Amino acid sequence: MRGLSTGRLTALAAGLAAVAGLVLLPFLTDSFYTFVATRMLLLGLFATAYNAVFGFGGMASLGHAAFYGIGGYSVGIGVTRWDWPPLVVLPVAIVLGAAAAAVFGIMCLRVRGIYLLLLTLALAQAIAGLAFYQTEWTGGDNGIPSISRDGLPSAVREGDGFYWLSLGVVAVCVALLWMYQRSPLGMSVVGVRESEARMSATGYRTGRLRIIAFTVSGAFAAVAGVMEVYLQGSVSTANMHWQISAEVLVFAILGGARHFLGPFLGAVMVTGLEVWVSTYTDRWMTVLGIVYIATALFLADGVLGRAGWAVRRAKDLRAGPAAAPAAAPKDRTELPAEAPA
Amino acid sequence: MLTWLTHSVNGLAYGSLLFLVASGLTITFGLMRTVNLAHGAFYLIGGYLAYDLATDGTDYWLALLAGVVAAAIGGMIVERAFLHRLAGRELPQIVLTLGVAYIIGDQILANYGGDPVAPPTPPGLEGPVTIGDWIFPKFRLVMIGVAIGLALVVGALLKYTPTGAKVRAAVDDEEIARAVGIRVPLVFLLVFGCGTGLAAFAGVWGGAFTSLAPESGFEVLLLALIVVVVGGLGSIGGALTAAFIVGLVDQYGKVWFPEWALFTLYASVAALLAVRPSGLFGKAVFR
Amino acid sequence: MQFDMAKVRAAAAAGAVLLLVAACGGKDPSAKGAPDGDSKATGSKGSVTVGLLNPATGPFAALGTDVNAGFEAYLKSKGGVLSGYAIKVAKADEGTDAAQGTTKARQLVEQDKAQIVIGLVNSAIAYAVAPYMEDTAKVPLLITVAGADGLTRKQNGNTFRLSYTSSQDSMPLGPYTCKDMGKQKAVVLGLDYSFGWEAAGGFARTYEDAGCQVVQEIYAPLGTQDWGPYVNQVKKDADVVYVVAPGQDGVRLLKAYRDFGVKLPIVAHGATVDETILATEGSSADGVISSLHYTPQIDSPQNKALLDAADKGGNQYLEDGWAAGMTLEAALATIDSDPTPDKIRAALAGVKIEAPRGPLSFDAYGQAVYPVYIRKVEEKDGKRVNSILTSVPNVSQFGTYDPATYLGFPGYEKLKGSWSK
Repeated sequence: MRGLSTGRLTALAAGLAAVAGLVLLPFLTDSFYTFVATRMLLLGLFATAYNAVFGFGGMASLGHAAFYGIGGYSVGIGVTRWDWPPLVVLPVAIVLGAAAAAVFGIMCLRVRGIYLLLLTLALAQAIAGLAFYQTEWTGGDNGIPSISRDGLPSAVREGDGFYWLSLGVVAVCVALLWMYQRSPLGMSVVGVRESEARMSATGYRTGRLRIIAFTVSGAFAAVAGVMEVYLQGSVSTANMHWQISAEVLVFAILGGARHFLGPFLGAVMVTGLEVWVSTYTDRWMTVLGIVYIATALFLADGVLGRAGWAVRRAKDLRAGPAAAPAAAPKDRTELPAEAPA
Repeated sequence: MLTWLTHSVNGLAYGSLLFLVASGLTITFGLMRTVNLAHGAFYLIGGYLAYDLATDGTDYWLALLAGVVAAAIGGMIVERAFLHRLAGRELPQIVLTLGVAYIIGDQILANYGGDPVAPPTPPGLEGPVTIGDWIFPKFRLVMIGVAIGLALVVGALLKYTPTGAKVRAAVDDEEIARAVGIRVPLVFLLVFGCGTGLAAFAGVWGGAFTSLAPESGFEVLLLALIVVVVGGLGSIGGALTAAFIVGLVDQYGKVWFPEWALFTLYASVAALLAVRPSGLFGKAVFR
Repeated sequence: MQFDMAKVRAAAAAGAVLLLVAACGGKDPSAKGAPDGDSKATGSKGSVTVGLLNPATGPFAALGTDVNAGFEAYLKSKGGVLSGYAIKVAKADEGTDAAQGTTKARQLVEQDKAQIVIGLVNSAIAYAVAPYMEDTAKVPLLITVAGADGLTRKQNGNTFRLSYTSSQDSMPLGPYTCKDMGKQKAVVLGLDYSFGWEAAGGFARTYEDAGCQVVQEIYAPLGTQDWGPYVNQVKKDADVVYVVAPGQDGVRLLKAYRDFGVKLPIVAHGATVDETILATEGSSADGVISSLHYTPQIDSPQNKALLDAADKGGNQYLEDGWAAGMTLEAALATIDSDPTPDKIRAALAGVKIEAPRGPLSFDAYGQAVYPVYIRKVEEKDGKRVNSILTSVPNVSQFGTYDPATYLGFPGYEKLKGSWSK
């Protein structure tokens, strides 16, 4: 056991304050912001799940909308056809999302870098094509409307209650992902990211690790998709649009893909920005574009990466002028997915 | 019999359109290894500008030229201001060019509205040709010839001219190229401008074929990406072949099993990439 | 500390882009975001907040802009006051997916305190927003474009719709094509998605019930770039082709149809040749006969008022927005004070107005009943227009069928492909 240093105590206090703030949020703000916060939580979970493949697995997928959408359609089809309760929907969605992701992982065994990106995009587009045309099941472009939340306990069915439900689900999932990431399994996936050749030479079956990373990621992405559809009460092909895949990639980069909570932060920031800017101007896509450009140019290691650098620099300065000046954040900071294959 | 001839030639014509769009991308993406998701946005710039000028009474070919030049300059600005700082880093390139595409698309929406527009069909190419009982649109036939011609010209330029040699050298080994006196940044700048200029040319011609709306940029981009990747990055001949194959697959897919149209196209591309990541004619695996 | 020149340059470049964006952003009057209507106006009876929820981005942005413009033009013509109530407008972007649509609907209701929400173009989003408005917000929703048949199938709900259900406007065209035009065998050529099946179904059902036969059905995916493969499959021995393809698909379809020299005459859903795309379609639209609840060619004082107020010439979306203004005015006229959402809902159900399109009222399901025009594309003063051939009064979402019988029919997505058998 390590002792608690002051730094750790501060972190603990900040963490507790954050938790209290999240739990009490519905009392602190109005119903609309509670709704927006619910969406932020769910997208944050989606981004955190995505990062299991992207930041920690070193594989830049552009197909995660597929798993998110599969989660969504599991709710839509299960509830409207067979009146499945959430406790049936959720496991089914997790299994389907994980299975689809495993297929993605297997298909991607031989590809790296940009090829992996395009292959996942093509796979996700193929699935979106199915969602669009298998109208018997998916309702085509109108999607499946009027998905009831009746299976949920009445206390968490609406508004604030649903926010707390989402908070609980997201907290559990993020905690599970954290445990996975810190486990020997999760660590060896990071090892594959750092040097696949070395891991392979030391006896790890790197292909299997890559598939596992996809599977875990797909399962939790599906959970986010499930909750989102319960929130909206409808699901359509928009839930599988490839721009969702691109958006989650930006969440991860903007927040900081090297940090466990970076993508979550990125999701909160971009979603908040979209809601806020679109209140004032119809040209919010332009503002979003500028944010993307700025992210690519100045925040390649993410907000958390930058913050970490600033903290380190402050420490160095305090250590006195004699200390070597902090290395400026390398403008060419290597992004995880670009680690040598 | 004639129906099948029509289907096949039309598949080739559609493939030619895809090649026109993809040709610029084979240069910027295939050759320079710069991922440009704003390629479709430059397609829009060319198409909308030519439409704007041509409907105001400017000569068609002048309007076409203006669209191409504007997009080439725009592309060079993006390369010089942003992209060259991200050389070799695909992910920031993706995010950056996606941002550029959002801005350009949104500004086109703000200035032209979202109703579809179409640049005119090139003069003299309107209407069908009739050979015996066989009827086929003149514009589409010419498009096949233009695609093949363009592939030959671009291929020859790269292969046989000193400029082409410089480009290939700069792409293959930037440091050695610099050491032997090639101004690599300038080469990249010009090559990128050519790529976006070609996108704009495709926008003017493709716009006459399919009409334009602010969303067309992304629709076109996905298909062009497929063609470039299936053909193998950097291979002009490969891109042309892939474009013809995709055009024919798309055509016959629509005739035989229309309800699976999107699925069959993307699933077969995915299957190909899973087995042959470097595409049909690609050489080394990229990175 | 030393300046990093590369970074300074990049920042300067980013700044330049920002300036550029700011410079070209202002051209479109609707680009300046959410104005608060005519803030100077005061009403004798108080004020009402209207939420306008239409797309400002994405593929339907043009339609949304037109609906907003129509509504605001009507409001302006009344000095910002409808039936004694000053109208405060809160505008939001419907966006391209349900997540954004519902977020903005909530913002309008919960933050801007809208007492009625007007708009919605995308049916998938409308399906997500309508239950929220009905069950949670309890604020009436007046739909101005979204066409899915299923949106107005509940009696005494708080969803109303001024625009067509996808099948509504095509139903009068069936008997017209069969009997008046005498075309016995039709090919259906349309888009393979809900709107396409419902619009084609409305035509096919009435056409076959009039005694004629659909001999072939061809459906192409939404966003089909090349219609060549589809127009080439049209059976040459048919008498007429029924076409449904709004927006860009319509432009591409008609161009391919003419380019490949297909000779059969075209009848169409009105959205295939409406004024938003007619100029782009050009000569390829000549002679197309279509059915729709509006054409700028309608000769009435109400329509003239609309055309005078709208500077870009009329189209169905402008009229939908304009008619939404008239509908709200008529509803508010029956409310003496304190216009709660509930009172507005009750008042909407009884609205009867003389809109630019003609007499308009709502059925028990909240769907508008109005005349439908059979129109033909012709050149007039160097411009292509939809001239009126004839009109059919009081067309409801059930056509000439009994509502109970009609609601018993299987959905059009199941009937697709079965008309030609």
